[in-house]
Amino acid sequence: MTKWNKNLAQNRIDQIRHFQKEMKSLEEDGILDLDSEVSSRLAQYHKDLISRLTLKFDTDSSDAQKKLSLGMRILTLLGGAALCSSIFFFFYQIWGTIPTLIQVGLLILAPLLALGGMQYFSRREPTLYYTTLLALLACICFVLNLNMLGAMYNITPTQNAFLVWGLFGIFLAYLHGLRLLLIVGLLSLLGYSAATLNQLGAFYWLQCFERPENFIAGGLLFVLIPVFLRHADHYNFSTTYRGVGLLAIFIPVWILSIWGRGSYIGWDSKAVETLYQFLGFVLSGITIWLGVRFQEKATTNIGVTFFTIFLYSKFFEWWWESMPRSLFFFILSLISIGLLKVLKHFHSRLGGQP
Amino acid sequence: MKRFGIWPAIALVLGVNLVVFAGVTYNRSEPFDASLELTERELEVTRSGPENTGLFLRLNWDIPIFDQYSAAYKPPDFLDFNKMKELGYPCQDGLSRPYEDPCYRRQLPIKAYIVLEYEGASWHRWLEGNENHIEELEKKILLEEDSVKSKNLQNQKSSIERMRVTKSRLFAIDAGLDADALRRKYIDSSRYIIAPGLIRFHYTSDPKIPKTGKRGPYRIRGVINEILVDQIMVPYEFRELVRQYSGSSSFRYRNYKKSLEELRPRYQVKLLFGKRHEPWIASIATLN
Repeated sequence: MTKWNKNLAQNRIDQIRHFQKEMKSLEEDGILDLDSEVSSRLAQYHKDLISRLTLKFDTDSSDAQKKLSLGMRILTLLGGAALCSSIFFFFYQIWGTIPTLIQVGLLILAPLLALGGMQYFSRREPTLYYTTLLALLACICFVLNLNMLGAMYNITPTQNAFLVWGLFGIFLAYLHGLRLLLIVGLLSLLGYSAATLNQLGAFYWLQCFERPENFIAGGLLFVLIPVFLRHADHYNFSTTYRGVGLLAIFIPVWILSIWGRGSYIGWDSKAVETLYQFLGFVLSGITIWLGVRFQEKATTNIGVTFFTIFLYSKFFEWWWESMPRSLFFFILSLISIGLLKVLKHFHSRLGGQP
Repeated sequence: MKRFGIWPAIALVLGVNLVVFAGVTYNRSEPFDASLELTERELEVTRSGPENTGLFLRLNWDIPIFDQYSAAYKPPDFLDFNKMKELGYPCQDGLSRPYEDPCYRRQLPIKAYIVLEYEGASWHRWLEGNENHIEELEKKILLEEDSVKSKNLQNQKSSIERMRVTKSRLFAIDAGLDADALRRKYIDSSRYIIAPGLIRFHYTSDPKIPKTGKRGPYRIRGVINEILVDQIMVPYEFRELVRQYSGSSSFRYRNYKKSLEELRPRYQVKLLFGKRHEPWIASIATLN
């Protein structure tokens, strides 16, 4: 029996819509002529299923609804960001004027209240828009909580706060299946792992951005998590883990391919850059292959994007100084068309066409 | 995860707060690591922004080299090659082209404990430098015939003289990775602060060799990037008292109409440092 969640429900409804359109075309072309009893039974079954899923998960049953939902998601993100900023600045505006004990009480109470609100709305709305907003608010209040306590008690900054914020975000993400919170949690954990690695290298944790390699280990771990941990209830989570993980690998590799000085490797900068350029091409090639092999659209797109970025960076290094700009961009356009042809060829082969 | 509901998240928030307060309590438990009576010169009132009502005192410090403004950005004498090696920097000293050595390029700032001395030998060294500079200026003033230039030199001299009553008497004099070892070396807790800070790798060439005109080999040095906790929150109970001094002290010092007497510090602060070398304000009192 199918264990439904919002994404599965939405996929099923999309599938039914496509099926109904195709049936209509086949009937119009005279290829298919279903018995009226079968046809009405099928239509009734689909209607019941769609209304059941829509009622439970508030899914979109038309293209117009889908577009509106995307707008609502963007609005949730923007609204969440604005609300969080407002809380942040409001606290800064008043904290000096209230006694220390009340400051501490408010700082601890704020994330707990936001958590309570999140739970309240999660039981009342299947769409989870307000739940996401309040979960985001709980995260920000928790960040504010530790940040302000650090300032109030003059505590030496430490990267451990990122570990705690990361765990908090990931917990809320799993509790209600909130992808935005998963991204927040993963980014926080990525910061923690990079800072800790930098500290293990005997340097100050906050300087971790000076060594992009610090981020690769965390990225690799995120890419591997969906291999060992199946997300049957939150299947979009696997894509999120892979997406964040791949970006955490590709961005440092690209930076090091043009800025070898930032590497831990004690070679000459040029040699380090060459190594990372080579790695960039190999990794993006493997990513494209894996994306196609396991039908992971996001993985394939990240692979293709970074393959192109690595290619363009190389061309820039070779020709930007020596070539007229017009010729440089003309060659780039020719190469893009060539790449497009190669990808089109693969696209056709995957579709089983000649 | 749904089985436990929201409770693990609540437990995480409360648990982390508990850990933070346990740390603060431990830091503030006796015996304290340092206890000093400082003034406005060392602890200047600062605000983080126009919409931030929090008040802080900023720890002003310098290195014991006289400079008309501040020498804190310069490499102090004690951060030489041997000290940097002790702090964990592995590069070779005395290279003629250090920028080609990958070891030099790989170094980032490290966290170390900095020893700040209050009104000790380092302050007297600075005063000596200040007096020498004033003497040099006086000689220049006597020889100067151009009235405008002479006036400028007079202003410069008066500005440097004012520094004797406005300048912070806290000077960085040593650094190390082991705070306990540093405390054993600098026992007087009413004179020496041991605070975590950042030290940056630096190299500088020896002066040019006279006969050849070439630069001498490069020497490894260190620069203090910052003291990690240099903004100390003013507790609520002292807020009203400090608020009257919240116009920047540096701005006040630049007011040349004020006499030296008027520029003397307006408040005194009892600053404590705990077991984790984190500071807090125990009391603030107005100075008459």
